[in-house]
Amino acid sequence: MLSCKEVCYIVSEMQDGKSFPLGRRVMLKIHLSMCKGCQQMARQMALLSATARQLGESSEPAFPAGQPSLSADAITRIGSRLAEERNSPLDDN
Amino acid sequence: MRPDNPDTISHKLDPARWLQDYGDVLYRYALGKMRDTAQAEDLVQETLLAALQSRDNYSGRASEQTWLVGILKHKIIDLIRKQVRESTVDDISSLADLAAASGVDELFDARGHWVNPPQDWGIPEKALDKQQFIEAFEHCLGRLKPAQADIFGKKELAGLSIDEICKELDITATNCSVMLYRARMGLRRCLEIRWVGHNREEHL
Repeated sequence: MLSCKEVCYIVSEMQDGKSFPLGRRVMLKIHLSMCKGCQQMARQMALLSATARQLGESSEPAFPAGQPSLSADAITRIGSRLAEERNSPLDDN
Repeated sequence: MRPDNPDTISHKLDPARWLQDYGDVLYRYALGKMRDTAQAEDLVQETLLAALQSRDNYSGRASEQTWLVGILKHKIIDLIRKQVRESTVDDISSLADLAAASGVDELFDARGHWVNPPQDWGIPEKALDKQQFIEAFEHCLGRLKPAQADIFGKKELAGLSIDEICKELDITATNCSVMLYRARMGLRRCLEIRWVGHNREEHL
């Protein structure tokens, strides 16, 4: 008998296109027929994929909202690290 | 006189100016991927340091920005690969084995049964609901760990196959499946709290 946790893994792997032997699929069907929680989970997993696909088609935003900039602290820190590296004799690593 | 005067090169390829001119561009790109300011800042630094070390290889054919963003992309892949490797087990052949072998986590009890069984979300059908659902989905996607969000995005938004993702990140298929499983379960849980909570509020 499969546990709910195993069922979640199997449903997720099926969404990735993995195929399972008949015995495993029968056990999955039996579990799903008896377990309301896992029925919901399987429906939700499918909805996640469908929603993601829909979002993918309308192209995802590449950048976070607004125009975040490096903080003054970060600029100082990175700037001095670069200066340090630049002034140190070049080594090969 | 040497043809490649080092002063001329360092004047042309000046790291301080890179930081000034492209720092924000690189930072935004890194932040968009990692959604963590400290990690994004580190990536900018790593990128500029790598650029400094390899500036002799810069052909000048691509723009400086394109060259720097190219280096940043490699740094991001390295970081995601590292995060995937640190968070997954290599020596398992399938997720089901892992499920049978691993103990308790917050979602399941010791016997692998739901602690909080998933609820009926009432699949959104109306247009307004759908928009709100997508907003909740995007919010939850933004709360996943970056490596999970990246792999989920590649698989489900960009439509890449597991093989393509494994190849790009140089990780195993099982690692990839584990990350996708965690991403889906994380999204599911987050949406359940946000979406079902939202529905409940509305129906009060």
